[in-house]
Order: sequence, then C-alpha cells, then structure tokens
Amino acid sequence: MKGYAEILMGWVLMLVIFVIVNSYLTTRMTADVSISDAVADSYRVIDAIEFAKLNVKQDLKFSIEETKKDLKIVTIGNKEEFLKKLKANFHPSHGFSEVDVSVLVNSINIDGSNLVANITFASSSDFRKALSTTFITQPLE
Amino acid sequence: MKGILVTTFVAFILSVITAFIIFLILPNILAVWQFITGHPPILINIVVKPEFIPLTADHSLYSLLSSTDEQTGKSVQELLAYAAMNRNTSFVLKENGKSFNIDLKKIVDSKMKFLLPDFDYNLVVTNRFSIGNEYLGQTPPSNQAEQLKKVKSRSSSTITLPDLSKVEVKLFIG
Repeated sequence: MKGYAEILMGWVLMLVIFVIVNSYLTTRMTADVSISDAVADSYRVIDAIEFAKLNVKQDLKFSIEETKKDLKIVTIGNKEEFLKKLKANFHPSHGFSEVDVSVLVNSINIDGSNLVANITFASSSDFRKALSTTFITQPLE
Repeated sequence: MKGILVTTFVAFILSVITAFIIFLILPNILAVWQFITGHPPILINIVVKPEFIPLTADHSLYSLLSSTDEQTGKSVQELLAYAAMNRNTSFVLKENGKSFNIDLKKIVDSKMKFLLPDFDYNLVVTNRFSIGNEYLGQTPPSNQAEQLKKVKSRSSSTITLPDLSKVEVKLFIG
C-alpha cells in the first residue's frame, strides 16, 4: 500500500504544480495582449492618415478640374490667377473615419507641369497622436 | 516481483489518466471554473479582443480605393467618385476623345475577390449605392440580427466627388 500512497501524492503534487504554472502563464499572456492592442491602435491611426492622403490627392485633382471650369480655360496661362482660384476651391478634409484626422494646407505651388501641395495631416485621437507632413503632386493637364 | 509489476501497471494507468485530464479535459473544466468563479479563462480574453481585425477592412478598403482599373488607367476611388456623382454604377466615361463603358460592380467585385477571396463584402457609398452583398452590415426589415452578426470587420473613409462635395464610403466584411 505504501507504493500507492506515494503515487497518489505524486499525482496530487503534479496537479498543484500544473495549476501554479498555468496561473503564472496566464498573467504573462495577459501582458502580451495589451502590447498587441497598442500596436493595433497605432496601425489604425496610420491607416486613417493614409486614407486622408489618398482622398486629398483625389480632392486636388478635382479641384484643378473645377478651377479650370470656373476660369473657362483648358491650359493654364496666368499662374497667379489660377492658384488664387484654386485655393478658394481646394478645401481638403477627411471625415467618416473612427480616427479624427485634421488636414492643413501649408502651401500650393506650380512646379513645371505639376501642382505641388504641402499638406500636414494630424491625428487628434485620444489614444494616439500622430503627425505627417507630405508633398502631394498632381499633373495640371 | 508480482507486486512490483502491479505497482508499475497502476502507475502507468494513473499517468495516462492524468495526462488525459490535463491535456484533454482540463480546458473544458476551465469553463466550469469560469461559471463558478465568474472570471473567464485567459484564452477566451485573447479570442474576444481582436484589435487587429478592423485592420483587415481598413487595408482592404485602402487597397481597393488606390488600385487602378486596367481599362481606363484610373483609380477605383476616382471611378467611385464618378459613379457616386451619376448615382449609378454603370456609366460612360469620356477621356481624351475615348469612351469607356464602366461597370463598376464588375471592377470592384474582381478586385475584392483578389483582396479577400474567402469573404463576403458590402461596399456602400452612403445615400448612393452599394456593391456586393447589399444586406451585409445594413439593417434590413427581416433577418436583421443575422446580417449584422455576419459582419466581422468594417472600415470607412471619405471620397471627394467631381463637384468637390464629399461622401462616405464604407466597407463591411463578413
């Protein structure tokens, strides 16, 4: 009978060790989850800014076309007049996303046959701040 | 000698039963623990906090909008803007003296089948039209709960129309 008692004690001890190890691993796994959440949040902010950039590129193209219509021109002659009218038409913004992104136009210039806009995108999200300033180029013709 | 053999055999049986309990039965017993203690097992926490899942829709929508239609050379975002302006997914696009018959549903469908081949989708341009499974993510009068439940991930963004107005575009994935 002595042999059986040792086996039973070993069996119970093994279960106890398993529960202790399992509870320790549980805390470690919880820590891993919070790290991945932070990464996911950052990605969502980056995604929102990339969506805004994509939309602003489209916005700039249609603003050029609209400005040409307003001035009743096909090709650009007076650059200053064109830029003045374009600035009145071009109001980029980005909405409808879960992450708020503000769009600020720093400058718009004509560079050869392209229009170049320097734009700052900023996330005002509570959980992650992000800022990106970039040049967006669009052909004038 | 006989006693040692019996002890070894009993030890073997106990070891097999213990291993069976730990590897096969204990995970199910965790559900009983959860019922008794009120604390969910950690594995369930990982499953119900899929923070990365919305990114699937984000990346799909971005890839779709920025992708180029081979026939016209224009981005899908631009074609969506023209379609939204016409309030119709089929329209004629005139460019540099050429005319293109655009079937946007066909273009979007082929790209979505490439981006997410095993998923159902619904691309909605708010107050204009939808492409794909039009009930997915929406609130139809019947089987509402079922259609909403099917949505695994969603994303939304803004597109600018030729008249410089802005509309919302949403992608539901199920």
